[in-house]
Amino acid sequence: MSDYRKLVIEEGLNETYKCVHCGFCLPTCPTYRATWDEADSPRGRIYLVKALLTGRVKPTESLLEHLDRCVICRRCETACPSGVVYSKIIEAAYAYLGDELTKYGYPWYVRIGFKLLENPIVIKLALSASSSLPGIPEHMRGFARSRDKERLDDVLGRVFKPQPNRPTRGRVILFVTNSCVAWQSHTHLVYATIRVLTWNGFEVIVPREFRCCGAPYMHMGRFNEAIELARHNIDVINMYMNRYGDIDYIVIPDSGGCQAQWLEYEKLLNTKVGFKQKVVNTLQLLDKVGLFGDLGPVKMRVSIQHSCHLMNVAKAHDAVIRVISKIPGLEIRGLETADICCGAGMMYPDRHPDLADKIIRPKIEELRKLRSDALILESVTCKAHWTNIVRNYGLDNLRLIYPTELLDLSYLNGDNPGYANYI
Amino acid sequence: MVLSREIINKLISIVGEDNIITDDVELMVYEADGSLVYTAKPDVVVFPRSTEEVAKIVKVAWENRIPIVGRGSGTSLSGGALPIEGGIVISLARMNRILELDIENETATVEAGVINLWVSDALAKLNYQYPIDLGYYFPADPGSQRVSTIGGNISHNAGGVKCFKYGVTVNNVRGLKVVLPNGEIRFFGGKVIESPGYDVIGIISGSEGTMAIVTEAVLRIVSNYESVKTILAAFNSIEDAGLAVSRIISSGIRPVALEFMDRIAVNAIEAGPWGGGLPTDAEAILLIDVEGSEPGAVAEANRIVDILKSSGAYMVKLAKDRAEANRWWSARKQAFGAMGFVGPNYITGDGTIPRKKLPEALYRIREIGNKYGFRIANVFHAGDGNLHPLILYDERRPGEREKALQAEDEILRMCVEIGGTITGEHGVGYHKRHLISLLYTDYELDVMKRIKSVFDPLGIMNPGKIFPR
Amino acid sequence: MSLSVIKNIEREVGNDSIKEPSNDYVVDGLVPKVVLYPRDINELSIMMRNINRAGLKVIPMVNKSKLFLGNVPKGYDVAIDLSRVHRIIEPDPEEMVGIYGISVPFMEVQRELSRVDRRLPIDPPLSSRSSIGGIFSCNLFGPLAYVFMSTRDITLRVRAVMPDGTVVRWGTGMIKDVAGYNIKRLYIGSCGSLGIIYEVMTRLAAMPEVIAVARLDRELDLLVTRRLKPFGVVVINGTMYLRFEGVKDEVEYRLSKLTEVSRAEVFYGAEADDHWYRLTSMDQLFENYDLIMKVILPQYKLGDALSLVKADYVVKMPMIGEAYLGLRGALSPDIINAIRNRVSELGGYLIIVKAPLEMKRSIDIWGLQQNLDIMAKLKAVFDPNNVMSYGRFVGGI
Ligand SMILES: Cc1cc2nc3c(=O)[nH]c(=O)nc-3n(C[C@H](O)[C@H](O)[C@H](O)COP(=O)(O)OP(=O)(O)OC[C@H]3O[C@@H](n4cnc5c(N)ncnc54)[C@H](O)[C@@H]3O)c2cc1C
Ligand code: SF4
Ligand code: SF4
Repeated sequence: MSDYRKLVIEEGLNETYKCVHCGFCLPTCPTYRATWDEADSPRGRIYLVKALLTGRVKPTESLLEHLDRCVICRRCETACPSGVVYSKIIEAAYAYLGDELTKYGYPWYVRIGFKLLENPIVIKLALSASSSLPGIPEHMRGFARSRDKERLDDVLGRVFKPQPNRPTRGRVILFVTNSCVAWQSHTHLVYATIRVLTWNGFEVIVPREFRCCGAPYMHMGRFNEAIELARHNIDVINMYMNRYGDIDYIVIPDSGGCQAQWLEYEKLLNTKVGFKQKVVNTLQLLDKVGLFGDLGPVKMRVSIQHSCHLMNVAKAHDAVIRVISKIPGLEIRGLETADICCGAGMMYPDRHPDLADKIIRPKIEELRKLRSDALILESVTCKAHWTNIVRNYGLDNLRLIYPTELLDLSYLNGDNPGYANYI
Repeated sequence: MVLSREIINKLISIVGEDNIITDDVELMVYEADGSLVYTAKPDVVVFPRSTEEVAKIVKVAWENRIPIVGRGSGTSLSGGALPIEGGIVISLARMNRILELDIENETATVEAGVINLWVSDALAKLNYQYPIDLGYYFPADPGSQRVSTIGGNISHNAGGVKCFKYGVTVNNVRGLKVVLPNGEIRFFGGKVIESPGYDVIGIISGSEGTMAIVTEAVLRIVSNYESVKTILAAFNSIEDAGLAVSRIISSGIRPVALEFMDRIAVNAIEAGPWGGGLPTDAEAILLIDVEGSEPGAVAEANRIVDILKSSGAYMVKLAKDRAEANRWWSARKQAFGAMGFVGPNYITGDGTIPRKKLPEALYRIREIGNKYGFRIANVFHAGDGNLHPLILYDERRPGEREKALQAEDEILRMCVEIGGTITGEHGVGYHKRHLISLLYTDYELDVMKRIKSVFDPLGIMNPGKIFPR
Repeated sequence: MSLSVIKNIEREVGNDSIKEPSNDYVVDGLVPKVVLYPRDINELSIMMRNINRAGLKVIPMVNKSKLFLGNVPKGYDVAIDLSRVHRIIEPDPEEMVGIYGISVPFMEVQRELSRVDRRLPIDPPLSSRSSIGGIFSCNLFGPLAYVFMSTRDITLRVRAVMPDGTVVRWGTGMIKDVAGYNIKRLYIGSCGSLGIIYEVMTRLAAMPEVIAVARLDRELDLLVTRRLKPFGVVVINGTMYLRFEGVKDEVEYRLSKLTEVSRAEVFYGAEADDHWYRLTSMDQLFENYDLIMKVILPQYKLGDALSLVKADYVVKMPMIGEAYLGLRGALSPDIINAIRNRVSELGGYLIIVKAPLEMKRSIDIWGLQQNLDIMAKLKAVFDPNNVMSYGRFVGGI
């Protein structure tokens, strides 16, 4: 067993003792709210993991099932008055169980798929072929269905100067990668991010060298891969730092999942990386420094579904709301359960279709009642998931939009000469 | 107790495969409640979805003499939700619909599994539709209101921070639908302030699930005031803080809430993620809410500020807006849970004492803490004398748990000695049943047992609770 | 009835503790054979022990102002006159609680409490002539219950003598106490059917800075009234009174809101308080009408219920959904049942508080239809021999 694995297990077990069993996390957990079975609650899972790690129980089928049903949204952490870091506990379970849990939870094609999908060419192929091939997870189809027409390759490796007549406010590195299915599909977001940032006076560097942030591996307990990817990405940052001297921010375009993983790098590698504070979401950055330019009206009724990791780990959700509330004409209503996971992460709907359905239903009903024009999503995985949901539940008129895209739209509608044609 | 396959099958035929737990590992999750001091594993957990299903389940238990334990969110701090003798745990968690919000008659009708705070949340949404009104809420607000269920609140007769003014749970229940142990469904009360006959609602409330399973309740809801003012005060001495409390209450003002926390409690909260900017250097702090019209609340708040200052508070602050007040209050409401930072385990004491005995009680609690070598944080519902000494220990150290229990025992005996009681809101449950005879004679306890028998002649309802063996 | 029981009692108690029955002790036309007049709890306990052993039928009473309340007794051997048994008044202004013996008149308690700037925050009917015992054993309350809750709700501890003579205590007197079953709540409102309450401990309220009572010559709609946030509202034959309390700014604000919706004449301070207790005591109603009914409803349905009966005198408490109705002369059981059915459809109850004897004989005054089995079993726990107020309570228990 690797040292990292041992450390994870030890820390996780320690963390279980911090749980005082108060239950405050129960109603924040999407799976508990779906089944009302305490074995599907954070408190229940912690109890099970504790029993597992102390050798009181064997990893039975039912134990694996309940652990595997966790969406790893980490909402429970924000509710916990004792500050239990649940993710440490579930990671410990993965570490302890090794392949056993992933074998249980992830069908073979998903596991193989992960291997395949690190290759940019294969991703491109898969995206175009996925609707016709059998055995492709719904998750993948979601990306294919929501794929934008802009080409990621066209911006990779380029540096975008602040738009003309703008005071320069700093230099940022944008994290995107073509070794990830998400970033190859949702390219419109990448373009919008570049427009918005340059319009706000930032020089935007878009490296070609980044690879997957590592989050999917992490949650499957494949720490070695995750560590390797983290190292690689940090090297990329360092390389650019050396080349350009100062880098003010590392911007993750609306992807709570990636951002959260970046924030874990220090812990994962057990070193100081020195740039943790610089990792921000686009709107989080703009909330901090203030907006330039003319915000044009966007006449829409929108609802929000927060990205779990953007909210529970990066804690950027308030900033996002603050910025978009400035857009004239925008009416923000719901979702009432915006802060509770929609069940998108980790191919959840593929693995647990029934539970995913239960989790999503109240949200669908609310959207129908509100008749929202658009739903704001803050993570690429969320959007892939919702693309399928919109289709499966017949919410045909609901537009899915990233906060940055919304801001982009507002700039497009405003008096901002030159904005539209920048890239 | 081991249940036969036949009985399990009967239960399955009532609730269906999806609403029953028989797997050993899954059952383990149901062996603990909010207290985590003791555990007891059920033989089966069922999740009925209607009163009728509850009735059928209970009937099976009745016919086979199987213990029944109701369960809401399992946050009981007295071991109330533990199936001490095994048997069937009936989880009400899937019966969680709000059936009716009746503003005209100022009631809300809900199923037992509804989470306390949902009632007020649902009412808040209504206000949106009736902007002329101030809006309504459910005033019985235990610290656990974000998670505990109405059924659990009723069974423990839970208190809250607002109960000095609005009463505890039983004062806010108008009607009750229950399933008796023989499977009969009964309704008591209505949407009315009283009804003829003995107060059966009053006797079932607080009976800790030893008489009947609550399946629905009609709750009293109350309307908001135009304005709420929150005041925070810090003291260098516990005596001064106690005196301030007495003076405020004597002044004729009826604060909605009046909470006291000592230094250890404040420091634990502030160390956690829910810190609210409470002063960590004070020996005691008070958190006070008053409500009324805008001019009325301001006038009351000013009066209180004056009293606090003249009673020796070294810092008095009026919340500048609701956001600040909410930060303070959510810090307070997280108090128990935050002990995980410093404990990590804790036993929540729950005595009530005459308010004027607070300094003495705290002094003696500190002595007991010293004697056993525990740190003890104190959270006190100052308006009503309900004291929560939180005994911090570490379950990983052998023998600590037992020692902590002994310390709690001693503290509760002390509460009785100075004229108080062993539980103000968490219930006798399993933990404190050996202490009930400090308060009642055998004759009196016998009357209680016979009352239980009126409802539960076979003794299958939550056995092993309240009464000493 | 066996004389030997009285002989036994006589031997153990003082010689003026046994009296000949006078007219005052007549209940529903029945005259007791003897009146017991205990001087303290010890005597009371001795009396009950002997009575219970012999299975005699007892009706406890203090001021005798509400003897009309209850079904016609199924037996009546002994009147227990409690008017001197326990007369303490012990306020604890700091703890905001008070202890009172049941023999004390309610108004005397209020006077005593006001000396320490406190009060019992209840305003029950017949407060002018009731004892603590009468009010608490019947759980009587008035409009202030909207804010301060019912008499039962503010009771913290009950001391009682069980029918078998055992002295018991229910509740510890703490404002919050969930140790053991909440038996005090059963006692309050049991109308003397479970044993004899001899002392109660309650929460108190402080005297507010300002009390104001506003008189309106018309009745405001319930929803409008609620928005004004009064402490209590009583409407007597169409004239509406609203009571406000609190710090000066608060009361002034409420009154200014009131003048936006109606003209009003306002009384303040002691004058207002006196006025309020005269109104809520309902003396005129109880003195002048043969038939008095009480209806209890979901607040918003109270109006519908009142339209069912043409009463001569109506005291309405809209905020708590209750009303007392006075009629001259009786109503037939059929009519009562018809009204009751309608009231019950509206989700409420109708209680006959007082009625001509003929009428009482043909009807259950409480009108409770459900759960009578449980009520009977509960009574049997305390009073297996049916000695206490036999037949007078719900369902004739
Ligand atoms: C952090 C924290 C803070 C707390 N703060 C407070 C507080 O401020 N005030 C307070 O009073 N309590 C408080 N509690 C204690 C606890 O939350 C309350 O007792 C609550 O009412 C329990 O509700 P529950 O739904 O979790 O019930 P459970 O714990 O599941 O059950 C409690 C008891 O009720 C019985 N029961 C549950 N549902 C039913 C039903 N439908 N029918 C019959 N019996 C039933 C159970 O058998 C058990 O005896 C706190 C607890 C925690 C962990
Ligand atoms: S991470 Fe999310 S799904 Fe998992 S236990 Fe916590 S709240 Fe539930
Ligand atoms: S909120 Fe935290 S301490 Fe409470 S049960 Fe959940 S994880 Fe444990």
